[in-house]
Amino acid sequence: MSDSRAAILSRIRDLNLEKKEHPVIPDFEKNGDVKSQFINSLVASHVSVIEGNLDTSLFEQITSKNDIIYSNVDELSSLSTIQKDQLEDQLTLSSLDHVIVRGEIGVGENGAIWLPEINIEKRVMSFITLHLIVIVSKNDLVHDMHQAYSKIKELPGFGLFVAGPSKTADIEQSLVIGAHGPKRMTVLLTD
Amino acid sequence: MSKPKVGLFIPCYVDQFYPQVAIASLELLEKLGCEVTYPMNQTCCGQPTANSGYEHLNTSVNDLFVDNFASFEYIVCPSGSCTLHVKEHMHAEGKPNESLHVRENSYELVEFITDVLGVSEISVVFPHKVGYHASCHGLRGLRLGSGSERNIAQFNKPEQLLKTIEGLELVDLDMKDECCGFGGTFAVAEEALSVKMGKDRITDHIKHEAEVITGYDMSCLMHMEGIINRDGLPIKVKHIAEILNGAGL
Amino acid sequence: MSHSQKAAEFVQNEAKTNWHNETLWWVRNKRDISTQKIPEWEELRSLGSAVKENVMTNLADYLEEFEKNATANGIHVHWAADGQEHNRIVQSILEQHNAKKVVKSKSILTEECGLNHHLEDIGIEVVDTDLGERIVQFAKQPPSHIVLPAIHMKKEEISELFHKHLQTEEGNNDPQYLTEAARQHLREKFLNADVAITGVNFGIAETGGFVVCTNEGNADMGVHLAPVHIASMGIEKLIPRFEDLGIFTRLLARSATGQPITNYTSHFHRPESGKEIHVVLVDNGRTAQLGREKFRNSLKCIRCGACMNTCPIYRRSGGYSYNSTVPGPIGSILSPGFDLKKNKSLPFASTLCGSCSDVCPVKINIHEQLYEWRQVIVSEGLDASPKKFAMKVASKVLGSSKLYFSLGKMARKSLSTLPNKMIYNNLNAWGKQRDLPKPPKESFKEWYKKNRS
Repeated sequence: MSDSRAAILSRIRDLNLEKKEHPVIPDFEKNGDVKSQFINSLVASHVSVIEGNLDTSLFEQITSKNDIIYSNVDELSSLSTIQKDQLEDQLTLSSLDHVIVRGEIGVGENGAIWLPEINIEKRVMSFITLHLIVIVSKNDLVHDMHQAYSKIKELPGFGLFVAGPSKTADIEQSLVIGAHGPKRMTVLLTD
Repeated sequence: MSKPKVGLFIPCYVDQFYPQVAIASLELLEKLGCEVTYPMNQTCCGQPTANSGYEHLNTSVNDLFVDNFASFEYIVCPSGSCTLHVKEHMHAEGKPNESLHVRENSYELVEFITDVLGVSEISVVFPHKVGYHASCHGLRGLRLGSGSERNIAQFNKPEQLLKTIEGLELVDLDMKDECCGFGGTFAVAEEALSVKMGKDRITDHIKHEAEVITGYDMSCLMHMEGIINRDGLPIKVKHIAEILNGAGL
Repeated sequence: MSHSQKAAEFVQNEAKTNWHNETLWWVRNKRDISTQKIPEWEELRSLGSAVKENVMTNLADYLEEFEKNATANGIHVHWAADGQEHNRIVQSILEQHNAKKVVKSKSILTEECGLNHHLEDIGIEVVDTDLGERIVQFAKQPPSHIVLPAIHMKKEEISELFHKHLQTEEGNNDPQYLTEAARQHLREKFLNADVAITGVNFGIAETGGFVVCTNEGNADMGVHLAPVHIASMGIEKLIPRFEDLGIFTRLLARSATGQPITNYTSHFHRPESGKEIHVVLVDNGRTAQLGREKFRNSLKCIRCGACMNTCPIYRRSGGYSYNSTVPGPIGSILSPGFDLKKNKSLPFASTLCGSCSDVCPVKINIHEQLYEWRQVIVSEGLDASPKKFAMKVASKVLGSSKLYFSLGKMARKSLSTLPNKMIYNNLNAWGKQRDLPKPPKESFKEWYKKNRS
């Protein structure tokens, strides 16, 4: 234990501040159709949305021949052009064209999708790919972030709310998609 | 019902430079049925020194203020900024009850008219295009309007009164509650910025073809008037009390 | 130089001042639109404020809880009393891993600690990976805004920098093109980094984890590729519970840029297998601020930058006019706590318009604290003596109705009789670009005496 630890804690405790209670977060009223909210939020964040089933033929339209694809969704494993162990190689990772993962929760108010580590395989995967494809079930949609967090029962070592392709507006506030990570994001909304 | 007894608090710079605003405030309150007294020994609320960091020097200013006004049912002032200062900082040593009474019963002129007198309409004529300047302390301190920052039901007490005036057309502004850059000693301490802010405000009003800028704080209007006169700009300023009291352009 | 001098320089370039003003106002507008979509917005602000109030008043307990849970998660927790100790801790972690190349993502705290200089001095390559931060790093400048680090620069200037550092085409100012060049350049840096350093948006006491928010994904690119992740966290960044994130993720991005949420909201609880996560908890003046009753709740700040975007002063004077790591209204109430003398002009760089307090997602009473710092600066004797003298005279005059009456009369008389040359001189800052009001024949007091008493 460092001296600074003890010093910081005692400096705080010596102030003897009157303790204030943690507030209760109320159950805010949820209005409207969550599915259309979710889709609208995604579209506003430059995400393409497809409604359909886990049919590999769907992906022919959004991928090209010779693309490097890794699917971490069992039903779509036939789409993978590389093996899991190849993900250990950084250059392979860096050349990924499409990554397909399953999202656990979709949030209507902002289009954010919860990706726990177990759905991603390698943490960097969903950031380094050119195109991130996320499968979300309509049954997993919630209205807002309060509901989303209350649905997360098991904390992964790493988990992510992703809400669109990588973007920046650091040059004169001009929006550019694809700052470091994905230049494209597609959500497949399934029944 | 007995007449509301009002002590009229006239800010120092209004007393010295804009007596017509004070006269309009007095006449307006009387027209609306108040018994108005102007305590002759009043000077200032002490805001200029306090906002400069010298609140501790205000002992005698505060004493004088509380002595002048503690006996009135209401203290009414044609300035949002000075009223806010009184409500937030007025305390005379050894007179906690009198100070509290002064703080709790001080009103800016417009809110006194709408909230205390319950007046919702003013029957005067002012056939001009008017730009309304929402001075900051009245807007965000006294909450004379809802303001653009907060997500609450919209309201605007001064505009609500202005809209009832015959012939008066309120113009829309690009930035409806941006600061004009007066800010008391800020106006001289940060002269370059202050003037830039003032120019930007005036430009917004002129762009929307206002003939006159009105508001409840003569200090902001004085600052903008200073720029308007120096640059010969095609717009005027007029305190809201003057318009509500039936003045012409 | 004081804020007013730097601001006067900034406004000299009127076209750029207008652009800066309008661009930030546009961001403020996006914030308004986005917050208006949330009916419970004001309630969320109150909740955010109340949660932080709970944090401030139980900080030692929460820090211990965080440390215990984070350690159990396999995260190494370090404590730094000040910026120097923070830098030494980071250095020692780098040395343990024989690290030479560091990628960093937006962290105002590491700016505050001067980490880049410290590491560069010992031969470490430090690359800021947020596009805006990389731009200002090329320009050898600090960020001018905590969320939009290069907002003071025009694309032509950025194009020139990139031409020099990244060999982009001369004169190609297209943001898309320039961003792509930075992407290629930074991709190589990410792939070769030994250590990634990030800031922390929220540390969660209950779970011993932390959250980092970005739009570009640069924090994640760095930390998931490098074997070691160091997260620098101010001790006030704690929140008690996981569920509190529901409040703060809703407040943060909407306040900052008007987005409903940041693109990437990353939750770290355990290192990836074979890797390490270190959290450095930093005091650096925060416990002192906690002890200042009137300024304590400045520590509630979640660094959204909304107060900068709304501030009519910041918009027209730029971030550098504040000469402080955190510029703008929130910086002007934090910085005096670090160094009162150096930052004494900042609390005066405001008209106390109060817009900052009304946009603040955690309801910090920023403008009231500016007022209070002014009182402190004066009582510490740091105000300039001419003003001190003027204020003493003013309080004398305004404290006496007789003096006020006679001096007022005199002043009005001299204003109406003196030649303009004597009124409008260098000593009269008011009159440099503004006329004084025309003095009336009589004051209201005189009129009242004549007509009403």
